[in-house]
Amino acid sequence: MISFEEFVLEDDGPIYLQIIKYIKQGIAAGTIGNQEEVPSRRALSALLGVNPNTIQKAYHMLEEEGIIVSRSGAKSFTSVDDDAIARIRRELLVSDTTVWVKSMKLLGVNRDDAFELVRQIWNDMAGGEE
Amino acid sequence: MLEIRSLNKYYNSEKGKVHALKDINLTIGHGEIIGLFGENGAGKTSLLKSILGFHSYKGEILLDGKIIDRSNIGKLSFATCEHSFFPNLSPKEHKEFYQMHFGTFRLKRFEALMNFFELPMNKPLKAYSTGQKNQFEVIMALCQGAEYILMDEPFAGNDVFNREDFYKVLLGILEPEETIFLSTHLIEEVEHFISRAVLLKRGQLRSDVTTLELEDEGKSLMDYVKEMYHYRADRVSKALKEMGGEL
Amino acid sequence: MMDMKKFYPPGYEYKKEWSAVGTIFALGEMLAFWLFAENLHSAREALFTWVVGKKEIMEGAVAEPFITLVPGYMMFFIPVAIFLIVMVVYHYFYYYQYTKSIYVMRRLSTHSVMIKSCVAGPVICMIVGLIAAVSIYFLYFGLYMLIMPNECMPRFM
Repeated sequence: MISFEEFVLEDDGPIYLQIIKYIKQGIAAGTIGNQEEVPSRRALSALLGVNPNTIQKAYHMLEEEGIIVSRSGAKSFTSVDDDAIARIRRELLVSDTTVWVKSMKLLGVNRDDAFELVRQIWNDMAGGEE
Repeated sequence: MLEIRSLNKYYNSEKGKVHALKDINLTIGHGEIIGLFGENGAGKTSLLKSILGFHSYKGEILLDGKIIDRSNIGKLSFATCEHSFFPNLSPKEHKEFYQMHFGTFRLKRFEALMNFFELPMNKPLKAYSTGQKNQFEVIMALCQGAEYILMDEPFAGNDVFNREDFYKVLLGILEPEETIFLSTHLIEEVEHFISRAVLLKRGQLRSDVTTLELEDEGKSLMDYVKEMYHYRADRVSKALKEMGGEL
Repeated sequence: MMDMKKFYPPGYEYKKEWSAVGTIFALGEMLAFWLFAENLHSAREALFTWVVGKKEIMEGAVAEPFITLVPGYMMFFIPVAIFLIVMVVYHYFYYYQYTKSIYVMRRLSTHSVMIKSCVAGPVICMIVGLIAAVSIYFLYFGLYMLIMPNECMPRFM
């Protein structure tokens, strides 16, 4: 069963998008696998303190993307083969990087300086490499 | 389905005739969790009491197509900041009363909620603290077995218990056909809990919007309410400026 | 003892009400009895006359009929009746005390529950009180028969 213990509700952006992103991140990172059970609408609603309609919208959109499927009764499971995982990874990477690039451009940073900045911060963090 | 059509409520005060509710049209379906917001005197309590038939009104209020009378009023329950429990009875005695008079009483839910809030079963309600009284009032409204649970500022008063937990428990136990219509000032607190927000201003229905719609517009509920009330964010800085000369 | 709670509003301290009713009833009866005793004594004395230092029944004396000795007996019950009527109203306002439990009562599917809770208790008290008052009246009669000399009994009471 997908765990939402680590999920934190932020103030920015619609909650259903945050839930979708959380699940996609889990899939991309490998913490959420294929054929893993998705919590029921009601259970997740109670866990997060969020109205079931919001949960429903998130699940509905994931179903439309084919990332989750409903099976016997009310249970839903993830349905992601290697291609899907790769696609989701790419999608998240592109989206996060786009946000960052926009931010850099807004601050008037040129491309080379931006790359240098990335290298510095990457190395300073734990597990950095030259 | 609860249908309110052309609801108007007048009452007499020292200032003459007051038009408390002006032409309200509202439809509430099963399973909705609706927040009712508005300034003091906006008509929130009048609206709830009209639905319950506690006073006369003009217009039509139908429950599943029928007028609300003794035969179907059991489908509505009510929790109010005025408190409607019996002060001399204990929770156990309330349970017995409700079981006798409301055939739909939810015993398991009652016991679970009493346990969850750690409320004593055998003390008379008048001996409870304000917070406990509020909790019990809400518990009874939830356990009557009604389809439409109306609440009028149920968490008002000097009350400290963790309401966040309460909303979560509620979301976990509510059946799909149960509907909550909650009048409250605690806008930020209930923002994620509700699915729909209804705003009253001076007796009129100013807005009726789902939280999903608000999310898509990128507005928080508080911002939306402020907007509807033409709240001017510069009020404080303006006032301080004006006072600046005197200080 | 049957559970009387169901004849009163939930949680109402009906025993206090009974004490009050009982007290008013007792006071009324004591007053009635005092008047009756006076009248009975006078009526009895009226039958006797002094003959050579001895008290003797007058010839042909006929006792006053019993009913003339307790005129308006039931008037002493009126304070009880008034009190019980006031209690019916008080029971209604009980639902507005501390909390508005009236909101619960007005949502019950059987209208009679609320009316019954206001009215039933006082009605029962009223019936019991009337029975008691009438029984006491018969006791008075028994007293009358006991105290009045047999030879003076009027043909019709």
